[in-house]
Amino acid sequence: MHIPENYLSPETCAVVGAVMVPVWLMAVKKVREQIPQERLPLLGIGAAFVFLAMMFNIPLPGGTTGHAVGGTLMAILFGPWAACLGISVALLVQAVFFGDGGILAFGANCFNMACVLPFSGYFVYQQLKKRLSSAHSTLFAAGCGAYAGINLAALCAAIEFGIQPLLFTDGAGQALYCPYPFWISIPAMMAGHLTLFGLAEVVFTTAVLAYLRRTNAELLPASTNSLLSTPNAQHSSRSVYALIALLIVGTPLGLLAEGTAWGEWDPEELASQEVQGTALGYTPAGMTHGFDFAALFPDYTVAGLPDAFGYILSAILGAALLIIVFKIASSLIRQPARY
Amino acid sequence: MIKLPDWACHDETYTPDRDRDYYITRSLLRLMLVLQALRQQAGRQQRVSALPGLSCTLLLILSLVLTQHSAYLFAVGAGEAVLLCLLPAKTLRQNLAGALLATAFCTLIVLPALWLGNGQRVLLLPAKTLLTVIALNLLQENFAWHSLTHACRQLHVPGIAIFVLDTTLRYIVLLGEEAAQLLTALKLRSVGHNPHKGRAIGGLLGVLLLRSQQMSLEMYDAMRCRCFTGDYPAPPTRLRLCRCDLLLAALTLGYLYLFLRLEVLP
Amino acid sequence: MNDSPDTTTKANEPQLCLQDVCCAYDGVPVLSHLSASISPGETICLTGPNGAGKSTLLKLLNGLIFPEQGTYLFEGTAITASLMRDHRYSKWFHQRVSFLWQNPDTQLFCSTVTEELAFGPIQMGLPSAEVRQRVDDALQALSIAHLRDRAPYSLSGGEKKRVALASLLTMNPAVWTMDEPESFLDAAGRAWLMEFLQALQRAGKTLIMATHDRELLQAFGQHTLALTPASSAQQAG
Repeated sequence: MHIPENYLSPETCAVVGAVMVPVWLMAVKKVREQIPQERLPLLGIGAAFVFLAMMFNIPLPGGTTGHAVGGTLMAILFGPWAACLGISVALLVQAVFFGDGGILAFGANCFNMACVLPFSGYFVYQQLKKRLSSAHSTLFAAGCGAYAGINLAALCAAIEFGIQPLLFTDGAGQALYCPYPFWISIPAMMAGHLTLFGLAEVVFTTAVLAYLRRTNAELLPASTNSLLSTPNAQHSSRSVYALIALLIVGTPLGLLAEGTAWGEWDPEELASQEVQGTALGYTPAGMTHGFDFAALFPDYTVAGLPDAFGYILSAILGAALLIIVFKIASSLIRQPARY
Repeated sequence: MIKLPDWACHDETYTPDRDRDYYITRSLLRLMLVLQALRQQAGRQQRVSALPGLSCTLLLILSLVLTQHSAYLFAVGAGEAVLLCLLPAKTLRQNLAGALLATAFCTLIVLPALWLGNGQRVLLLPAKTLLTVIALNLLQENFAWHSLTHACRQLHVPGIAIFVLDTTLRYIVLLGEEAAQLLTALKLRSVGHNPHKGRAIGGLLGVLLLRSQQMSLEMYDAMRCRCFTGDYPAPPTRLRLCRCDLLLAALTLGYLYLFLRLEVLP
Repeated sequence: MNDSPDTTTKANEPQLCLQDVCCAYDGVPVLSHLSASISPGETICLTGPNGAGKSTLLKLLNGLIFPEQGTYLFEGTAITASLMRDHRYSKWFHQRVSFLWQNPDTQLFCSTVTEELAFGPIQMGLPSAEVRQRVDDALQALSIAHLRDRAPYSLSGGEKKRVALASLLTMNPAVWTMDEPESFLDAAGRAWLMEFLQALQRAGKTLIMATHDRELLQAFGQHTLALTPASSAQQAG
């Protein structure tokens, strides 16, 4: 769902980016008010979860891949505003260091995955949780929220793709940016997300939630457990780190998926892409002469190292960077002593 | 019976004029920060013994300096990032800020080389700087200095060098505390316009110098009382390895293997 | 900010007032929920074992550190970090409230005793005739006239203590805070110190001292503030 560079026109990027600026400002304000300082580093851990979830590529018949996001999980753990901030930072790390998602398209990616996804997912989760009251209602509500969230986000991305050929074409009628209109992009995106990727998001969200609840981890919000003062806090934080380590070691599984996600092809790949039986046959002009940003480690690989090893190192580095960012943020807030 | 002078029996009416003694406040703050850092430094809880920690760091830095591959730097960076995550938030920020500053300087220095067309390899230098500084910061964040000097002695660094190091560290703390108190006292008594700022600071430094001389003489006497003959032999110690030490050793071996694979075997 | 500080104190208002003050040192809580009020001219002894927060409280009263919770009011004004950053106020405040350090070496840094004594009044911008007058008077009052040209660091412990007291006296502060004033003094020195403190009392000064000395406590301990390491304090009448 990461929209690459030059698939959206700069105008679209500017508009969506402008929408995101007040959202980010509001998110920073809300996080400062709502999240106690000692929970801020945990937000980094949550962002690391999201980062890792997005590294597990799942193949779909037909050659495309996709992944879970974990945005609803974060919204349940920290609230939607904090989730918005955390996912945005994770997306920034992906864009800058690993070239996943464009720099210009950063605003659009954040709008889909850091704004639409957690807020809609959290809304569904809340509504369902209020209506249901059985023992497993929380997990069920979380699963439904995750499914709704990722599909709405995918729909937004598809709309952003689909709007491009309608608005931006050159004299010969060839698209300047993403060449697929609504009637191709929406079914293509939603087919994957309504089935496998949505399922992956549901499984990821509920499995992590269940695991955290069983280990009584400190990541859970104060309302669902009374942990912060329990004696096995040490044990629970260890279990969170263990889960992260497990995810990191498992990331090379994401390499098994050979294809590229829908809408994330390289420009050359795009020209030979077959949709509805015919190849596109040209590379849109906006892509060949577009903005180009050289990420440090494109596609999570390191030149000179085996792919799987590079993938693991990328996972480690990305997760650690996110934790560092939020730890530093927490240190910038003055800490009152406890009496 | 003591009789106070008349003026001392009345309440003072005093309105201060403008004079900002920034020099006191600023030097005081700086000094306090250093002292606090030193105090915290000395109270480190160590999970790994200092000797393996020190040797691994030295090996790592050596390989960092020698390597020609950005892949190796990337691998080391990932490891250091994980270790950085384990630091408390505030020290993490300070260490990272210092390392980034050093990197910025290094980048400035190598920029002309890049401009003259020496290729991308020049850019390895700032990355190496960043990683080396972080490695050293991690070392001093995880080990108290006295344990590091102890480890140095186990590595057969001459005793007199260790002694000078230890003594310097101790004096920085002791004299620093003195200086902080002196500065605070000066600040409390700086109730108006000081026409002779230089004299006040000069007096302060003079007192500090005299105090340090006095302290060193006293320490020499105390050492002579405890049979000091000019020799500074190392106490016998046994190296005890724990699980964390082995983990560290395994990691270092892994990095060395990676280094050799990348550099020696093409 | 208070640009022209009011030097007169209303009769019934407490001069120093601590309201539910909590304070930490290097992140460790030292004072917790401490309340006390001290009227002008009153004498208060701070007692309690080592680590009970006596020195921290004295630093707080001198505006060197600030409460993390609660307020410290000096003559009705809350002493905060931002207020003390106002140089005119902080200078005025430091002239009103003086601090005698436990180790006199700490506060003596001038090259002669005379300079040491003149440091305060010169800073206050008094005319040089009055500065000279004050220095002479203080040397007389503390009977250290014979030391006037000596270097402070060459003096004995008791002499240093007197010079330190004299250097505060020349500023004529209204509140004297003292950290173990009896330290570095022998028996005769302590007897002299008691007399000096009584003279200050007669002059209407507010005295706040942290002390372990039994004699001092007997003589001045009508009002004590007992601090405990468990960081709860009671004011005894």
